[in-house]
Amino acid sequence: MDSADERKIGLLELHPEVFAAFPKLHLIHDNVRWQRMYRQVDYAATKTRAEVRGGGRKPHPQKGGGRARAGSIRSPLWKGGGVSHGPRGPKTHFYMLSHSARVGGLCATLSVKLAQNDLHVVRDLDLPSADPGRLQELVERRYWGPSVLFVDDTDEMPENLVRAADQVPHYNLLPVYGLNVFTMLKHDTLVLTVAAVERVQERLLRALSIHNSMAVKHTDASLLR
Amino acid sequence: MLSGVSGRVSAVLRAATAAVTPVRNRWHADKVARGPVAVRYGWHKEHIMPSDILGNGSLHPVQLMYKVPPWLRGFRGNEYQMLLRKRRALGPLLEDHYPTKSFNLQKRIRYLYRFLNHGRTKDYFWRKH
Repeated sequence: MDSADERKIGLLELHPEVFAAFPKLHLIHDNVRWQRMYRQVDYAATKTRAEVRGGGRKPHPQKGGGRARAGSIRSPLWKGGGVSHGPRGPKTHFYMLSHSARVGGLCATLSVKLAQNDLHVVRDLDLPSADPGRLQELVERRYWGPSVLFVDDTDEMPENLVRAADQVPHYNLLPVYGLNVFTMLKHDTLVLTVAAVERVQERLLRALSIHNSMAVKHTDASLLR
Repeated sequence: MLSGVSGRVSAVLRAATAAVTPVRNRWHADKVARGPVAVRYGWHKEHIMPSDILGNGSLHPVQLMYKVPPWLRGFRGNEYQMLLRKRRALGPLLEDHYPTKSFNLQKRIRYLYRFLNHGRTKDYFWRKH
């Protein structure tokens, strides 16, 4: 990344099970849906006739007034009354996608990105300057997409890249352990360092090699207090 | 007699108020001097989802649901289960500071318990769902 023009440095061997997997769109979709849903909370709430204030007294006598019989002014039939069968309180949409589906989704997305020439590997993420204009020029010269995701295997990114990417809202940085299907699809181009590629590959191969992935705990009770 | 009482009360008030000296620790000038608030459009902590697959396995997605109330993290269930969880987490707080909410919560739990359990045949509970 020291010059704006692209330079071939060498060849890298990638494991076909991770980077040339069949692009199973249903797995990618499942992952995206899960990532959107599992943290979603629906706060819509209505009051029932018991919770609306008042309504204890019988509004008018049962007979003789020529009116419909009524027992409470907060009946659901009344204006200003309670709501029957309305949404009740916070409703969560949490669920855990199975381990195999999550691993498969990551492999499928990485393979799709590579097949579409949207995955690039660089030696490191060092930039000569912290100027966002130069980073933008680099990205445009290499025909990387408008939005770029830079992934490294460490938490601490080079300072020049952090400063430059901070100024451009669609250039984002992520450590390997944060890599996920939604973010990969959200960005046009994925830029990984060599170390990041090796780490991703090692972790995914380890996950793929689990004999019985159904046995992987999906929800750990100790985490859920 | 009345004037004597009011005199004493005002003396007490004066004594109480004299001890209070307002302390200002927020000044508009300081806020202006700090300049405009920096707005960053990058990905916030809650947008990324460290996975237990690519990480070392020590983090679970449930631990990162920062925007979800703690008593709802990693939970999914019907209204009755949600209310039981709510009562367990917030019950004492509601009881002390929000008596109406506490009362309505208890009432709803009692209603739903009856709705879900009573008036059903024994066969219902033996059935596999």
